[in-house]
Amino acid sequence: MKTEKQNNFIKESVTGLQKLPTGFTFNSTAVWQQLENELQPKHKRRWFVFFMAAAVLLLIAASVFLLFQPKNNIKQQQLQASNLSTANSNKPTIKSNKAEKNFNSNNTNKTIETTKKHVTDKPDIEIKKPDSIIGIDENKATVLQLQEPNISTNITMPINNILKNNVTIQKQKVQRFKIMHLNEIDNNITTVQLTKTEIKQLTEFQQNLQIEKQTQQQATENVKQILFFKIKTTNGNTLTDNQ
Amino acid sequence: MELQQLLKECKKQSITAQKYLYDRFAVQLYLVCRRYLKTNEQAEEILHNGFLKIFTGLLQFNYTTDAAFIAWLNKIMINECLMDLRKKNNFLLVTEDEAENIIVDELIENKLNADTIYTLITQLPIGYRTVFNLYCIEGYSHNEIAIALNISGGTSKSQLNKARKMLQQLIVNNESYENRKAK
Repeated sequence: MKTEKQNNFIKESVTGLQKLPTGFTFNSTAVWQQLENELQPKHKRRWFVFFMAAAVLLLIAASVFLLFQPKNNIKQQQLQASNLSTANSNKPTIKSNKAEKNFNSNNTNKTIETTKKHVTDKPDIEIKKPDSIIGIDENKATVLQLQEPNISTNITMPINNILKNNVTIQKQKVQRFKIMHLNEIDNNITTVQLTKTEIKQLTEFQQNLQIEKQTQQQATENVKQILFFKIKTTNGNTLTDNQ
Repeated sequence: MELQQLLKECKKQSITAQKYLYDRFAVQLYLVCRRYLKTNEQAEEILHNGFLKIFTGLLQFNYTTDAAFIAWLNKIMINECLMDLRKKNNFLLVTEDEAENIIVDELIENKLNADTIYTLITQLPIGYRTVFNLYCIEGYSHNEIAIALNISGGTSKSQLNKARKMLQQLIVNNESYENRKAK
């Protein structure tokens, strides 16, 4: 009982203390400053973390951009080089008015050469790929649009195939139209009357055209045989040069 | 400001409310820490750590009464002190002796004031002081003390008796010193 009473007395007197006894010092402000520093900077740290994350992302984006930028240029250069090599190896090539302007300023005639000329003649002009042709992979790249609207546009073959198959792009002839009233059309038709000689001339002209086409086809076939070193025999078998 | 309102503000992480709470309980909790620890610097360090735990743990704390909140604060501080003591002192090294019967001085209440009792408790060695604080002031049982300090129940009892004996000796010495001082 006595010990319990004593314990209670000690407990009450110690826990009831509100001020520091003499001989004890407590630097309250220093402890609070430390606490404040650890309690407040949470927001600052958070902001700092976000800032750092954003900086790192920017850095990564910039590095990725810089890494991939030169590769595209190299591929474009390779594409141009491949075009030049094909031009030098007597292959028919795509010609554009822009290319003619760049490399042959004297040549004011902007028409595209005929297919016959392409097949037989050597190209004497260094040819560049038109600027509007955009493509990385040569096999997949297609001619989507040429800058000048007169040049034919609907080509969906890969560039290499175009080059191999001797396909050329022809400039479309300018068609001129006249605005007429519907009633006028009938009158015009009725007024046009062809004579027999004129009809004969027309038929002859068409026949000549057909003959020209046939000769062109033969010429292209001969060129193909020369290019691929294959000679067609009469039996239908193919023979190489070695044979 | 009422304590409940203050705690609500502290839960919103208002720095002014936290400062207000600190100012209100800093000295009281410092005295708790100083009872267990040897130096003022150690006590300040533990007080700092304890307040950090209080502010972080306040979000989970459900206020019921002022007394419950103060008890919670005390408990956090005592646990912090015990953790620090366990790190720095190996209580297993304390020898287990049989508890002695101590003659209790009945006049102790008349002789000592609160400041003197507090000062004398802080003069006890760490082992005695810890057990004495836990048993007499915090109201722990010997089993609870044994678990908290990782010692046996017998060691706790013997440490308490030794602490009492030493405290009595300190009171006598202090009394004689006071008498001499008065003369």
